[in-house]
Amino acid sequence: MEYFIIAIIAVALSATSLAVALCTALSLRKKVSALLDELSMALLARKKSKKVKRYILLKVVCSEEADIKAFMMDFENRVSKLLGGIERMGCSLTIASVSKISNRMIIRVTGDYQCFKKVLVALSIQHILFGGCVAIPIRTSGLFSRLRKWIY
Amino acid sequence: MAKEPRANMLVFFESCKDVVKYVAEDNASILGLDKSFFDLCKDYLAELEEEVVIMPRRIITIDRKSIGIITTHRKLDALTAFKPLDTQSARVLAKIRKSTVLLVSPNSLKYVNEAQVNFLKQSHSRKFLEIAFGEFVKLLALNSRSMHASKAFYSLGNTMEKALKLDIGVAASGAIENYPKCLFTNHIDALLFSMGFSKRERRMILEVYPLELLKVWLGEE
Repeated sequence: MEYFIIAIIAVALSATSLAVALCTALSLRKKVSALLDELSMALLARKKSKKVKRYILLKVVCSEEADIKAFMMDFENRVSKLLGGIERMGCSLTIASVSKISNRMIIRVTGDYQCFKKVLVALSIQHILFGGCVAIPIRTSGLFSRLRKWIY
Repeated sequence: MAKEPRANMLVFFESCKDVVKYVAEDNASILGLDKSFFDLCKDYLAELEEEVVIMPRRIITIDRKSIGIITTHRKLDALTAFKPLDTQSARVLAKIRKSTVLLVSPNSLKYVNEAQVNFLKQSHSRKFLEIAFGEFVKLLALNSRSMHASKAFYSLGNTMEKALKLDIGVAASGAIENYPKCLFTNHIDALLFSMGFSKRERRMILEVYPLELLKVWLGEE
């Protein structure tokens, strides 16, 4: 009789432990899958926002009354205004080189690929909104050295 | 750098001297000028040293009341582009048995859409679309409330894509206001690039179709 009771208790205990293990495994599985999802999302987001660097060679054409020096100083502001504050979070623009003899300059755009496209549009339409000088994109490249020979 | 055979179908100028400046700065080798301005500067333009084809242009707005102009007004002294302002006139333009240029602007985009491109394909004669990029850029730059820029560019992109797919001629013009407030050919190229068109498609729009349009117009003349 005693053996029978002990056997029942042992079976009950093992069943309970099995149930606890099963519940824990299920909840752990859910948590692990949620963590994996989060990780993959983060990896994807990271991949999407991979930064690229592009250089654009520009020719600056000014009317007689416009000041080319003032334009080059104000150029970053003009394009940034057109891009907007939120766009500038992942998109930076700097003047890499200027040639005052040929009125050409090279600008560096750092950000995702969409940012490069948006900067191209912004610098193409800046003269319509602000007037003054026209910036004409001539060439684009991923390497500064490739554009340097065109800036003479 | 050597000039590419690119075309800017229409640019507005204030004085004849500005044309020289534009030709010196831009890559365009085919340039469209307003007919009245062209007549005014005819002598001045003849002395241009650059190798540029300059053609007189005329834009005619068509609606239900003035639909008769399409058949009666066929003067060949200027390359005419028709701007339809209702569906009926757009369909009539598609059915004409002569090569015709339809202007696509934010006003006419509703009528010159993908459906209209299908009608243009079914036409017996060669039809061309002229995209007035200047007017579309105005929506971006001047923050117009009449039409959302994103909607306009989305619709324009679809129409152009359909036209290129069906081999309907597509050319581009950059006129907004008088020079220098206009789009140069490189600006148009950048806009097309940002809209997602490939290098081949951009060459077709800026070089191949304008040349064909010029050839068709000179053939008619």
